[in-house]
Amino acid sequence: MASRPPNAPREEVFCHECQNNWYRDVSGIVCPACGSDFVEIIEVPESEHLQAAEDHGEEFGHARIHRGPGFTFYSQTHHHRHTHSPQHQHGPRGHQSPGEEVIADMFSQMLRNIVGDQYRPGSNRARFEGSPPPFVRADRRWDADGDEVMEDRPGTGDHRPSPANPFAPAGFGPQFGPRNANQAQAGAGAEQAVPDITTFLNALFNPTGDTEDIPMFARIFGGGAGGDYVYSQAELDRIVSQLMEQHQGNAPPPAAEEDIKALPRIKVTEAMVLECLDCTVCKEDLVFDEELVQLPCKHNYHFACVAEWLKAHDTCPICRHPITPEERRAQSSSSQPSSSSQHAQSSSTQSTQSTQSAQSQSQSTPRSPPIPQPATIFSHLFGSMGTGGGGIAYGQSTFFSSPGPHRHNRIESDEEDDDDQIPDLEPVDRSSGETGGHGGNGNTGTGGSGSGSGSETRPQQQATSHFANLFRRH
Amino acid sequence: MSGSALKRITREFAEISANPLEGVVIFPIDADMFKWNIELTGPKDSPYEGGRFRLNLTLPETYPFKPPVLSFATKIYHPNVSNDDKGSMCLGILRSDAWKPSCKIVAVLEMARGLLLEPNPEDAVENSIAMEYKNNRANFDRIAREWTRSYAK
Repeated sequence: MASRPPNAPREEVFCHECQNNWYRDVSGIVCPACGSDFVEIIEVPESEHLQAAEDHGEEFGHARIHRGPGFTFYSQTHHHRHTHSPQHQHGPRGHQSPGEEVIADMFSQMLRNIVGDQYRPGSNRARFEGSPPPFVRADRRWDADGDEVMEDRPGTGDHRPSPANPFAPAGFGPQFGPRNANQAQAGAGAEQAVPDITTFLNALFNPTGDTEDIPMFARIFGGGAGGDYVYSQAELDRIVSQLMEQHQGNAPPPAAEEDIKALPRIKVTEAMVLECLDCTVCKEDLVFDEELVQLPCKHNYHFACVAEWLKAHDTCPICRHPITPEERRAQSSSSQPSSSSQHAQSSSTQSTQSTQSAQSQSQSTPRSPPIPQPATIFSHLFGSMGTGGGGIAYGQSTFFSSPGPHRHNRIESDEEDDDDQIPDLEPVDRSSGETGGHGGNGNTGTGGSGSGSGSETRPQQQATSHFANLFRRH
Repeated sequence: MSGSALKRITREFAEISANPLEGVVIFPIDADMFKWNIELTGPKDSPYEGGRFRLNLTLPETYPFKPPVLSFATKIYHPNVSNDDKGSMCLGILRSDAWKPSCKIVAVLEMARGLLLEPNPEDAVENSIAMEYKNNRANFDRIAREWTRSYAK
């Protein structure tokens, strides 16, 4: 590496079979030593050789982790010197074995994902190269058995302001913990706040303050680090379910009292009795000359029976056709949030008539009292789904070194003042320009680059499909 | 309302007793017509075959204006049954927004049994199980069979 001419960024090739490495323009992309084609092309950042030894803190600060709303994680330069460059100097803590450093790198990346919250909105879909971001794996682990820990997590579902960062460990300042939406975060100071991995670990495992009862890790992975962030599928489920409950589902709204009273009355005829018709609400057989009410869809019921139902839901108990005249339904539906969509899907087994009317019902959803907060939240959920596909669940990665206030990926509704503050992260250029030395070391890409992607996309799909399910269900 | 609810429930119980559903046995809990104990037999050609699953059916006081609540007392590996101590099942006609008073308990039980035969991964409560069902059917079947052997005796 050191023999490289200064100005020419050259592509280096690394052989996964025999750990050999060479320049592409010299020996091509087939390993000259063992003939294997299981090789990886590595872009060597121009100035890398100038900074052989570097502190971990800086390394962490400049690693290339990029994410959009679809939580993109990748490092363009999978340059893992530790595995293929034995002569590499390890810097101040050079006693670390390569394995340890790999772990340290993963760990730092994980922490970056956890601690920060900066993201670049509206661009690429998730791209996973290299090994998966460790926190996702850890996340899964906690998914399985972390429920208990989650239960007493404060403020994950609602948006209680988290007063003074309830589990900020010593030495980490305001970055470590739930964001306070009303307070700009000191991003610039973060780099100094992470002097080295030892402090970091100490802070994690020996947290001070009120975190003693639950280990930091449990909080991070089990409960989702607080605030309105969640880091596990289960926790996200819980939040969304909670929101859904608040929203009372999309059950049809009640019919108006006067409309119920105005329903036309009919008498039971002999023919109806002979047909053995019953009132489908009470299941009693009809009795000759008994009085029934007839709904606009021509289904008949005892007044008392159907009135009870209509007071709760404006649908025919058989075919779901509403009794409210269409003009008024159309009117009131315009003021409704559109999230009610497909509550009729489960009625597919019924007659076409019922399906149709159910659909028309779902478009109307009249007169339910507006429940502003959940509705707003939904629209935001939908919004994030549209751009990112589940970004909320696995929310946050950041640079320790990123400047400026960053407050993002919130479920909450105060977006007006948020959008302008996203620093425009053009991650690739940015990191290669700034970092000098260890541009690409954030990801542990070299060793198992292939294995990551498969396991990686699944949680996202899961999150997305989960959303789909939830919204279909309600 | 509970007078008319009781009347309807009693009527439905009589109907169901006269025409029992295949693979479904009902034991009302003593005098309480609002709680039914149900035993589902795992359908043939499903990974639940040979299992006997206990379910609790709870009818609300306002039945039929509110849907019954169905839950598995027996642990079951199924995308539509929550894998916790509640074993709750909430989909299709059981959901309050899809429920209609004209639905009957028979329909609910038929649906439950149908779901043993054919789970509905698109409307899952247990997403991981649904993923397994969709993407790795063999493994799903294996685990479901194991659980059936272990729990549904």
